[in-house]
Amino acid sequence: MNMENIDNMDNMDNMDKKDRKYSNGEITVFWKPGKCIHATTCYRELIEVFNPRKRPWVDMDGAPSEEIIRVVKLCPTQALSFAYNKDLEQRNEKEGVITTEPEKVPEIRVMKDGPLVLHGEFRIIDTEGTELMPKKIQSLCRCGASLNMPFCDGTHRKTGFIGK
Amino acid sequence: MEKKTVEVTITKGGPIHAKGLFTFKDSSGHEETKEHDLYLCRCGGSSNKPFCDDTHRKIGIKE
Repeated sequence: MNMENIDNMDNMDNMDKKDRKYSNGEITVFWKPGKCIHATTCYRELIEVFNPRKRPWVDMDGAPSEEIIRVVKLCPTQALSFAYNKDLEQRNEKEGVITTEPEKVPEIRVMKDGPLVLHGEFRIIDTEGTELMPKKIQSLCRCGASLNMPFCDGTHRKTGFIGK
Repeated sequence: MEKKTVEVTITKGGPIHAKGLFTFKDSSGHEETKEHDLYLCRCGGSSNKPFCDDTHRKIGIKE
């Protein structure tokens, strides 16, 4: 666990009644409205996830975790922060809190104009026949332009990929 | 139900092959949980997205 996450867990401990948290199974985003100065950075960067017109205003399914983390880090006031769920779970284990997730059928989700998002247990075999390290969430390119094939690296935004 | 691992294969120069019991959710939110055997476009050029229609053979795909 790095220092950044430890800071974020302090944020979590100091949760106020108005504070909210949102999770996609891999990461949890914490929102402290009391700290928000409406700099609008989050929704200018990633309206698919941070949309103040929607309720709840944070949609964790709107983008891959890496993209959400990138934008959370841009928040100028740390009104937004995040932690990896595995770190939160480890901490809960230490404190004797049991947080076991029920086994779920794995899911492949097609993001509009974006990647395939794989949630859950999959065996992923790359073009060389090598099995990739399992991850709870994996985003695979479907625009054909990623510089980090076979994974999504957000290039679909630049190229204006359209795909249902 | 016996638990079997779902296999996702990134084919060389071609689509993503996903086979096994999983939930498939398309971009309109429609979802179906069953034994799937899907070939999903990753060249960006299919006219039948999200599925492969062999367009990668015409336009090529980088690895």
